This record gives sequence, structure tokens and C-alpha cells, in this order.
Amino acid sequence: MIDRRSADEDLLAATRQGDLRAFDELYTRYERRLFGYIRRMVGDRNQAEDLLQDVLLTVIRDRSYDPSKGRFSAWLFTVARNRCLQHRRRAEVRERSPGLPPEPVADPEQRVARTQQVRSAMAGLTDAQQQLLLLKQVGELTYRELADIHGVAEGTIKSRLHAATQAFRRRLAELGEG
Amino acid sequence: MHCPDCEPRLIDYACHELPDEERAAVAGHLATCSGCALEYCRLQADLEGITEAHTEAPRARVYHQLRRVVAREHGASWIDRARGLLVRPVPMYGAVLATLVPVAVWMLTVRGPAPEPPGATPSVTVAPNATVIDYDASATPPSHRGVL
Repeated sequence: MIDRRSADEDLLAATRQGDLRAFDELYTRYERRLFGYIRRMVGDRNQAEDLLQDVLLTVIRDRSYDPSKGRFSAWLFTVARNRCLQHRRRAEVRERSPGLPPEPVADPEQRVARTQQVRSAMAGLTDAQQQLLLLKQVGELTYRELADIHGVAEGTIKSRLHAATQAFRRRLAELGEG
Repeated sequence: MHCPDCEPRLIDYACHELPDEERAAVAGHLATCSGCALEYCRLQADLEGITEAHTEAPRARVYHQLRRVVAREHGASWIDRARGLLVRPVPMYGAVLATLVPVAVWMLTVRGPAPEPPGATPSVTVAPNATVIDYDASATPPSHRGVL
């Protein structure tokens, strides 16, 4: 029986068996966070929507995922991160320009001053710091999961995340004062 | 715990990454130290700002397209659907029978016996113990009775 308390892994299994209610629940859980993360990584809304579809179809089709080895959300954001990096590399080759982090696209949401400040503060960080903060805050991954994704020790992730958080807050405070 | 011990642990505390013992110690300190509590609230607000600024819904067409693809690739076949009907707690065929049987009985009752085939001698059936009340066989038939 599928309901709002079902685990992600159960929803994924039910979706693969053709239960569209399970798909609906899974989509509802992740659409905003996953799309927000992808949009921040690639910038363009249309491309982000294409990538969102690509990522979700990949995780539904790919049966290599083993729930005993980690949470579904960690796997989902790992796939999303890899797709976004791949997309960026292709875009860089096409445009022959350095891979600068995309600037936030102007839209009505950015009229909210706080949101704009946060995005500006994030844009001032290095790409690695941005990714780390996004995966931690938006993806809600643990230090252990982040360490697995980046292939480094948990302690390294911890110190990098501390540095990124402090840099972000410093930048946010500067923007607030300015 | 004192402020210099608490401060470097605030990020881990906000990220739910502290061991239970340290977590309890930080929580205890925050409950008694207004300076650290204020700093924690600011940190929490900044981190929540990241989440709020970077969550965004895709357009509805994305959902519809995805759902169509999932239904096409993983949707149940007619065999699976039929199997699903049979293994339900109240089987569908049971419900169908419960509806159809009373209707069929009622229709047979209303229509009466089937017509006889052409050429067959019509059979007159008389009830063996038929009794007629208030009938006198020796009395003059009503058509031969005087009007007055």
C-alpha cells in the first residue's frame, strides 16, 4: 500500500512495477529540491527541466541501485550531479569558454531581496563550495554520503563544508551591509 | 560546555551531524547561553535561506511528460491487471456475480415459461385439486336467466 509515509525505496520499486501513484508521490517529494539543484547547476530553465526528466528516468530505469548500500536520495542527487557536470562539460566544449558558474536567471522570485542576496552570496563562492552547500542543504545528504560522492574522507568533507558555510555567511553579511 | 567549545560545533549541530552526547551538550549550552543561541539562530536562518533560494518547481508539462513515459515503460500489462482483479481482497468477479444473479432471477420470474415450439399440441394443464368457490354446476347459466 502506497501512502505519504512510504519509504523512497518502496516508492521506487512500486513505480517500476507500474504503480503511477507511487511515481506521483516520489515526484512530489523531490521535484522542487531536485529541480532547484539542477537549475542552479545549469542555469537555463529549459535545460534544467530536460535534465530533471533525464535524471528521474535514469533512476527509475537503472536497476543497479541497491537500497542496502545507501539512501535513495543520495543516489538521486549523485546521478543529478553527474548529469549536470556532464552537461556543463559539453556546454564548455561547445562554447569554448571557461566553466564559470551560471548566473542566476532573472525571474519574479528574485525580486525577493533575501533570495537575491542568498543567490548572490552563493555566486561569490567557488564552484566546489556551491555544490557542497547545495548537496548538503537542498539535497539533505549526510557527511558520509557527501564523502562517498566526492571520493574523500568524511573529515575532509566536514572541514570543506565548514569553510564553505563560513565563506557564504561572510559574503551574505557583506551584501547585507552593502 | 563553554562558548569556545560550542561555537565550532554549531554547523555540525545545525546539520544534525553531531554524536548524541555532543548534541545533548550543545543543546544544553544553547538553552543557557543567549549569545550562542542567537548565533545559532542566525546560522540556521542563513542555511535555510540556501534551501529556500534554491528550491523551485518545474513546469507542469515536465510532470505530465514524465508520467506518460513511466506509464508506457512500466505500466501494468493486461495480464497483470487481470491478475490484480483476481487477488483483490474482495474479488471483482464476486461483486459482478452478486449484482448479476439477482437480476437474472428477477428476469426469469417476470418473463414466465418459455413459448412452446410451433406445431406442438398445446397442453392444457389443470390443477389436480382445483376448487372453485361459490359455483353451482346445476344452476341455470347466467345468459338464460330472466332479466327481471
